[in-house]
Amino acid sequence: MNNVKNSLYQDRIVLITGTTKGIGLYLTKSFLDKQAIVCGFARSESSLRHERYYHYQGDVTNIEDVTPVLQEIRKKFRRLDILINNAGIASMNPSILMPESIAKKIFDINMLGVFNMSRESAKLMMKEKYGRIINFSSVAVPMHIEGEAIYASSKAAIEEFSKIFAREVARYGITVNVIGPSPIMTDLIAKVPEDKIQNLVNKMPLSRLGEFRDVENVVDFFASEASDYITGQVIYLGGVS
Amino acid sequence: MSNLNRTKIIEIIETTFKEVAGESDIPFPENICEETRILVGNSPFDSMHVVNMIVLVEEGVSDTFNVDITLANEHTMSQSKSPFKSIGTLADYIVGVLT
Repeated sequence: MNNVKNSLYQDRIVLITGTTKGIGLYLTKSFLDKQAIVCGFARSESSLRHERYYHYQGDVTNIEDVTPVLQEIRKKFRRLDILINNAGIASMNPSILMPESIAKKIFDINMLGVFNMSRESAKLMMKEKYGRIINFSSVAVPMHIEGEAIYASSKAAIEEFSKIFAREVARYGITVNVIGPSPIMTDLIAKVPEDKIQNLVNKMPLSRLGEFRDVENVVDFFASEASDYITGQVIYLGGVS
Repeated sequence: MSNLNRTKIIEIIETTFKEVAGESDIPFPENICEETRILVGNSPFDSMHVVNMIVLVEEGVSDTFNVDITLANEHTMSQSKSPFKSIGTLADYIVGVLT
């Protein structure tokens, strides 16, 4: 791999899910700025136009959508270096009021989506004996926030999956790590009342809302070539543990 | 599916077998043939070697025949007689998929 000075991701092939808005869009632009080739995968179309950005439309929960994207990447680039499983949904409801259909949808997108993407991507990474898989959890897991039982459970499942998958693919030079962001002003929490968000922030050691750059910082750490001895780890933002 | 293609599939599987074994410094039989075990029995592989083999065979089939197949699916994982048992049984399964 030809890493160029000041261009950490020169020629790296990065696949990011949920690239049309929020953190996914921010990370996409960040990787493009750092000379990576970015493949975006999302349910909707992307307005992003860039010579090194390739957009694929589909559903991470549907393997019939996922497999062709990885096959396309294999044919086009012959490899995949970094997968960022950013796509996810949230719904804040007391468990007793949580409709089954929404609970199922949360698990499907958050957990099954990560599983589908990780499995198919790892197949491509195995041959090159190199890969970085970065999954998204949430501080909702260690903070045990009321009203987030299903969301936090789906994220806890991602953490456990990541730890085991990390062991399974370690021999192929693939690392699997997890970032657990604190609340960040995105669509994900747009419908949550402000006072609830503030209460949550007040319980964190570093009492402020997270920012996209905070996520980018941890993603850079996990995605770095130098992080080949870091796998199966979870890093929460905001000092939460 | 002609005999020629079945021969090609056997070739892909045998090459992959040697590649996976070679990468992990696993001694493998001198005469690799259709009866050579991939899974259990006297196979030299553990489960992750088999996973690696499956992935590489899928890739080999795709590159050779321009057809994308998924070998680890509900059908193959639930069959009482696993198609991954030996080089020959895997070849038979792939021939069936491509036919």
